[in-house]
Parts: sequence; C-alpha cells; structure tokens
Amino acid sequence: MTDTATQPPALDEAGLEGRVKSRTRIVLDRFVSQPLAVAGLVVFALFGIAAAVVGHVWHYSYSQITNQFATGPTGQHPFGTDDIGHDIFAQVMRGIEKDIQTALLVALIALFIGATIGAVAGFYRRADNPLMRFVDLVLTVPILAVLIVLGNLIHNQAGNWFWVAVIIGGLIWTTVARLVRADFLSLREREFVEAARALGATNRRIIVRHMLPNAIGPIIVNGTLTVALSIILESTLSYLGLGIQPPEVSLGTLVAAGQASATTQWWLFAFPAGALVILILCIFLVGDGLREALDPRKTRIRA
Amino acid sequence: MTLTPVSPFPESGPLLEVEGLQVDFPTADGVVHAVRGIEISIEPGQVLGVVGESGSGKSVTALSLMGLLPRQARTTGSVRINGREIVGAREKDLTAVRGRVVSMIFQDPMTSLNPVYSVGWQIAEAILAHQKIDKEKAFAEAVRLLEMVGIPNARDRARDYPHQFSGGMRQRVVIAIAMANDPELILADEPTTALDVTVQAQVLEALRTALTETHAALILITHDLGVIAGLAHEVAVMYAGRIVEHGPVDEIFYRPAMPYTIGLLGSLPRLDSKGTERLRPIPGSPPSLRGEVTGCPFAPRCPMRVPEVCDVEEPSLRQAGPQEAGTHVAACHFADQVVSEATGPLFAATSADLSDPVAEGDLP
Amino acid sequence: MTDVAASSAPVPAPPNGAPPLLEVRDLVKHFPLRGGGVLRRTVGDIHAVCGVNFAVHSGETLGLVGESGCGKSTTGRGILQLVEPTSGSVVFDGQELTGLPPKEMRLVRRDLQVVFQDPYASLDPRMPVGDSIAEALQIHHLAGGRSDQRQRVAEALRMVGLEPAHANRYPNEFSGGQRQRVGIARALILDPKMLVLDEPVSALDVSIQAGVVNLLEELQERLGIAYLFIAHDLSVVRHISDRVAIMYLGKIVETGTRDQVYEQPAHPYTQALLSAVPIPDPRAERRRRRLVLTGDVPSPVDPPSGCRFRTRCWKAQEICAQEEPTLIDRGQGHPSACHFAESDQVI
Repeated sequence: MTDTATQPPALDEAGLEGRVKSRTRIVLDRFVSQPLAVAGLVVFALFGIAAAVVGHVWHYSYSQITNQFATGPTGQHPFGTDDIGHDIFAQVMRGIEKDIQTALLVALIALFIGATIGAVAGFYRRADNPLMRFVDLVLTVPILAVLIVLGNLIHNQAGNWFWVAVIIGGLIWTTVARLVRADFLSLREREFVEAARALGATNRRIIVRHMLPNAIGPIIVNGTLTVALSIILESTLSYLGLGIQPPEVSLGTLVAAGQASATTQWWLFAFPAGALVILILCIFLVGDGLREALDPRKTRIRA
Repeated sequence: MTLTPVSPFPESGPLLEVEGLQVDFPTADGVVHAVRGIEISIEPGQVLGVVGESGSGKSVTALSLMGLLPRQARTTGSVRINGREIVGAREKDLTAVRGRVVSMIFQDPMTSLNPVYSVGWQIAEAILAHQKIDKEKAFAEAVRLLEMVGIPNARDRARDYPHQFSGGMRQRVVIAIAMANDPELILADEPTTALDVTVQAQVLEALRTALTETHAALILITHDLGVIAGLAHEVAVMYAGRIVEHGPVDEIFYRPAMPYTIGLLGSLPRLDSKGTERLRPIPGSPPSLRGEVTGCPFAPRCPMRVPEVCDVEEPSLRQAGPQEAGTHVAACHFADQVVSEATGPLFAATSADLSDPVAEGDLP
Repeated sequence: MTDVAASSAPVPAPPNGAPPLLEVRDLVKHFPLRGGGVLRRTVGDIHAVCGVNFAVHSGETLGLVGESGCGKSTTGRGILQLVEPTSGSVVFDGQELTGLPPKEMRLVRRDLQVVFQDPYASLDPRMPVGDSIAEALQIHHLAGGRSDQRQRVAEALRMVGLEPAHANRYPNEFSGGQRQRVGIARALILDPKMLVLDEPVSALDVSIQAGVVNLLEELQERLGIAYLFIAHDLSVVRHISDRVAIMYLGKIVETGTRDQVYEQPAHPYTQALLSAVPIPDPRAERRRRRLVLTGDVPSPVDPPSGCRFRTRCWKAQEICAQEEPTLIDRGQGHPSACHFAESDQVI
C-alpha cells in the first residue's frame, strides 16, 4: 500500500516524548502567562489560607471581648479594636472566611441549577421555550426584595449563612443558564456532535462526553463572576442588617458597623472595606484571566 | 476564445513591479515569514495567474500589493505601481491608487459592496468619479455594465441592494464596479473559490468581459489550476512564501520544471480523463513558515531530493526550458534534469500519510 | 405542483442480479420555514429533497453530484436518519430505516457509516484522536478491555495510512488530510458495509485530496465497501465513481454509469455543468465550447412548475412549464429527466 521510496521517515518513539500537550495544559500555560490574573489568584489564595488559619492560631477570636476598646492599630491588635473591645483583625479574618464560604456555596448551587437547566434547554428543542420562559419568570423577581422578605424569616436561625447562601444561589443561577443554553445551542449544530450521533451515541452520552467538556469554559468563567457577585450581594444584605446576623460576622456587617465612625475611628471602616474591595477585585482578575486563557484573542494569518 | 495581451501603451514601462518583497508577522510563538522574497513584473494587458495551496503566501502577497495588510505585518522590499511606491506609503496615497489604478476583487463580494446602497448607485458612483456626466447618464451606464456582466433584468435589478443578490451575482456586481473604475490593473484574490461551478463560469465570463472592455492587466490568485489554464498568459507557482516557478502558461502546464509543480499537476483528477489511473499525491504537508528555512523548503517531500545539495542551499530561480518559449524559471537545483525526465511519473501513487503531525497554529 | 411520484425508474441492477444494498424510493424532505413573531408559525416549506430514487449495490460507488442547494447533503442525512425524512422509503440491507426506533437504528449504524466534509469540525477538539475512534467501539460494546481497544484503534489508524503511535494526539495537531483520515478510520472501525461520504475531500488542498481519494479506492478494493459519494467536484467524482446521479433543486435529473454520464450527457443541466468545469490544460481550455447558464438557481421554497430547470434552460418550451419530465431512458441508454434530452459530448 505504501511506496517506501517516497515516504517521509516514520516518527520514532523518541520523537513522541513530551509532545502531547493536553488542552488543560495549554489553558494553564496561558493563564500563568498573565501577571494580573496570577497576582489575583495568589492574593485570593493568601486571603483564603489566612482566613482559615488565623481563626485557629490568633490569640483573639472574632467574638472575644478584650479590655482594650476603641484603640487604633497596635502590635497587639494590628487592625485595632472597636468600642466594645473586639479585635478587628480577628473579625476581618472571620468575615473573609464567611464571605468566601458563602460565595462558594452560592456559586455551587447557581452553577448546578443553571448548568442543568441551560443544558436541557439548549439540547432538547421542545424543552427550550418553556424553560426559558421559566428563566424569564425568575428574572422578574426582584432579588433584593425577596432576600429582604426571606431574610426576615431566617433572621434568627443558627448557621444562617447557609440559608442566605441557598436563597441567593436559588435566584442568581439565571445568567449561567442563559450562557450554557447559548453554548449548547451552538454546540448542538457542530459537526462532531452529528458525527457522534451517526455513530449511534445516545443523547446522554453526547451531552456528558462531548458537549459539557466543550462548554466548560464559559461555565468556569461565569462561575468566578458568580462568586464575586454573591459576595457583593451578601455584603449588601449584611450591610442592611438582613443577611448574616451577630454574633456571626461578615465583611458586610463589619462595614455597616464601621461606616458611622469612618472619620473618627478609621480602622473600623478601612480594613473591612479594603478587604472587601481587594477580595472582589482578585476574583474579577482571576475570572478575566480564565476567560482569556480559555478563549484567547489571537490574530489569525491567512497565508 | 484566446486572450492576447492588448497593451494600449506599448512603450511604457511595467505597470506593476515587485522586488524583494518580504512580509513577516511577529506572533507570540515566533516570527512567521509569510512571504520570503518575490519578484513580479506585469505589463499592461497581461494576465498573471498566481497559484498556490494554503500556506503558500499567495493571499498575503495579494494584500501587500494593495497595502491592505494588518498593522502587525512588517513589509520590506518594493512594490511599485506606475512607478509609485506602495510599501510604506501613507494611507492617503494608497487610497489614490486603490479603485482608480487598481481594482480589487476579493473572495467575499461583501468586502467591496456597501449593504446600504443599491448596486446601481454604487456602480454609478464609481463612474461619476471618473467622468463628468450627469446622474441619469451615469445610472444608465451602470445598467449597461450590469447587462455586460450578465445580470438579467438589469434595469430593475440596478435598484436592488446587495443582500438581494446571490453570491455569484454579487461577485459580478463587483466586477461591474471594477469596470466602471476603468482600472489599469485588476487584482482578483480567489474570486470564485466559494462559488458553484456553473456560477463560477458566469463570473469568469464576466471577468473576461471586463478585461476586454478595460484592457486592464489581471493578477489572478487562486488554488484552482483549471481556472488559471483558462485565463492566464503567465503563471507563477508559489510555495512556502516564494515563487518556485514562473513562466508562460503553456510552459508551466506542459513542461513544468519544478517538482512541486509536477506534483501539483499530477495530483489533480481531470474531468477529461477516463479515471482509470491512480492519482499521484504529494506526500507530507507544507512546512511551517515560522523560523528560518534552510535549504529547499520542498525538499522533505521531493522525490528528487539530494540531501547534500537540497538540504543545504535554497535554490534560486534559474532558467528552465528553451529560451524561445519565453522566460521560464524554476527554483530547483536540478531543473534541467526535471524537464528532460518529464516522461516517467515523478511521484508515486501512494495513499498513506505517515508524516509527523504539524501543529497549524497560525495557518488556516 | 404536479409531482409525479413513483413512475420514475430506479437505477438498473448490476449484471449479477443481486438485490441492491441500499435502495431509496421517493425520498422527500421538506424543512418548515418559520415566520417571525411570538408563535413563529410555519409560512412555507423548503423543498430540499423532492422524490429521489436510486440504488447502490455492494462494493460499488455511486457518485451523487450537484451544486449547493440541490439537496444532495440532505439526501445523505435522510438516508442515515440524521434527519427525519418527510416521506419515502430507505431500505438498507433488506431493512426499512425510516421510522425505525433509535435502539434498532443503532444496530444498523454498525453497517452504515458516514464521513463528513469538514475535517476540522467533525472531530471533538477535546478528545485525542484515538479516543474519538475508540468511541465507536464503546458505543456498540464491541471492545474488550483497554488494551484490546488500543490495538483495534492502532489497526484502524494503520489501515488509513496514519502512524498508530499518533493516537494520543489531539486533532489540532494534525493536518487537514490527516484529520480526514482519522474520520475515515472512525467510520471503518465498525467494519461497515457501506459508507456515506459527504464531500469528503472538498475542504482539503488539492495535492492532499489525491492521497485521500487513493486511500478510499484502495479501501474499497480491499474491504468491498459500497460508497455513496456526495460531492460537487465533478473531476473527483469521475475518478472514483462507478455510477453517477446528477441532482438539481431536489431532484435527480440524470443518472447512469460514469462513462455514460460524462461522455454522453443527455440533460441540458448536466451538459452545462460539465462544460463549466475548468480543466487544467491550457490547450483544452482554449478549445472548449462553453455553455454558460443565465440566471440563478430558483428558490427551493417555491420551485418552478413542471421542469425545475426550465428557468435557466436554453431548450425550454411551453411543455416544460406544464409537465414535469420523468427520469426515464429517452433513447440515450441511460435515464434523464428532460423532454428534449439529446446526448452531446461536452468534454
């Protein structure tokens, strides 16, 4: 079948080593090549680790009342104390921990609901219309109003950050659903999906093996945005006194408590607000970096 | 129907002169040398066919002739149209040349057509740019041009908008506009590639009409050797960013002197053959244009390759074929041997492709 | 619209009289055209395929040729049941495929496979090519363990002229021609009786096309597979086909053996089509007689009455608008659908 005289030499084993660059590797490389994104990731990781660790090793707990009140930043209390004597550093760390915890749970819920609904709507023609009308319905619900009303109900529950997360997650999955649906709609028409069908693949196999892996990019990017959005929402709630309740703290509650004394006892406001801003900024930077890594704007050259 | 070059200005110098043209694209993964030094000279009324496959650099060449390359491109060398230098010229000077001296026909007609004006209006506008006649006369002339390119019901269709035409008709409208500009040179980059074969025939017929009417020269860039055979006087074959063979059309098709050209011709299934003989593909793929080229870029795929010579030095264009037939040059160290051994098949009728996969990051 | 259904003759059987492997009868596919608005009611139909009849026998290649919009791709997909035919019958290996439940159709797919046009799009970019090929085995529960799968994939790659060691590479690392070979390997690993090839070489460079065409011919010789070769490139079709059918606007207008259709085309559209194909031979091109059609292909939403080609045909008369010509032999030795069929050597 082959004419060896005119064949280029076949590839030997040595030539194969190290040539397989999986797509995950390519994406990681591209992410790592963006300094801002990496910085965001590093700072976020530091925040997370610090928050988790500090709770155990710091000599003050977030709810502990010390005998130094209304003092500025000192060696003992790097972020100062408030009128009652709470150590602000411990509180800020606790707030970060709670915020991240809540946000991750929200993102998980939102991604799960959103991706499922989006995938079904995008794949099954008949389900598309009714599901999208349902999404529209959920979108018309004014989120803050719902949260305010329901917030009242869970006001005094123990571990109420969990319920706050559930409520937020249950309402902001709509963007994810729209994105996933759009992706699935276009993927459905791609030829490799048709090829899988021609091989005899079941719908489930096509969705799980072919479409989800190809749609994962926007899902991940939107996931990070959802995390940021949920922190903002939760902070707003807590600021209004409707989210996380004392003795639990979140960055939102701290900002609310500290804003009145922003000019007189600046440390009560600056540190929580600063942490909040940095946290959200880091998440956005990581999200942007992920988006660029997954779908780079390359200039193509037609030869 | 034969096309003889009709030059209304036999004494004037070449219409288009390209010397040492090089185009580089800096990318994240290294510099891509899309065009690596080409020379072209076009006389008025002449038809040059530039043929090459993907990765040959032919499209980049077309864009560089008009100064239409993206900003990242680095162009060196010289492109002179009627003595005016294009490389490095200001946008203002380039617009003076485009449309008036040179008309371009792209693969996608919507590149040249404005979707918000009627086609008649667009043709009339081109006419008015050259002649001082009133609007009605210009429109009537536009209708006449539409008829010439074979649009039925031209009078009514002239008021239609581009989106109301099919792809082939749009391309013919573009040709009508080109005629209205009365250019000296028409540059057509894959004008019929996306079209059905009967539509292609209509567009090529319109192109022939344009040439007869305007006496313009034509540079036709395509991968379709059949189209070239039917239109060109001269042919330039491009491979890996350079012209590897150049000569009169009969010389190229009947006495090719560069193995790549032979391979290309031998790999084509012909409409007029009985279909009993096996095709002869060229094994492997074109080289990546990133990084430097040592030796002949076609050597890895060439059945006549002699490593000591071919891998070391890139061949320049040298005389191939008899002098009387016109200037026929080929870039092969063994061009004369190729011509004399053109009787037996050079490429084998293989069916395998064991070559190392080449990542096509920058190439389509 | 007078649509004469079953009276068009099927393609004649080969000498040995065996029943055809694939028989298509009166295949029709209409796509609804939906208007705008909230309800998006159907305002019309795209008549993509309007009563197509042909047969393919074991081991032979039928070339289905036509320009864009003629319905050849839709015909291919209708046969494969990737698109549900509006009406008509598709009998493969003695079994009626239309209306077959998905589970049973899956079994049929072992014997009836497909190769798509776009080598860049028909492979999942996130799966190594070996996995794409092995998926065929997994879906049909035909593979033993991992090593058995790997071996069969390696065999398939070798069969299409690729290096088996490249199985763990991703599609974007291969050239277009190599990707297309992967697609062929995926189709062949199930050992099918017939392949539907939808423009398999159109997206490839010319010098690469030849290798893939050679491969397909060799495979057919070795494995005895039948091909339905759908394409618009008449030169390639002439090279690879045993018999040819020409399609225009949803109908077959001429059919016959390869030599019959190419050397003695009887239908004006076939003649125009053949005279329009450029030949890479300057002397031949200079000598050629060109039959250039006027006008455009009519819209498939509202095809012309009677003979659909009459709006562009130089022979058109009144009868052409009133009566649709059936696909029968009119004295040229092979069927054509024209009231004024007359064979004429065009090439």
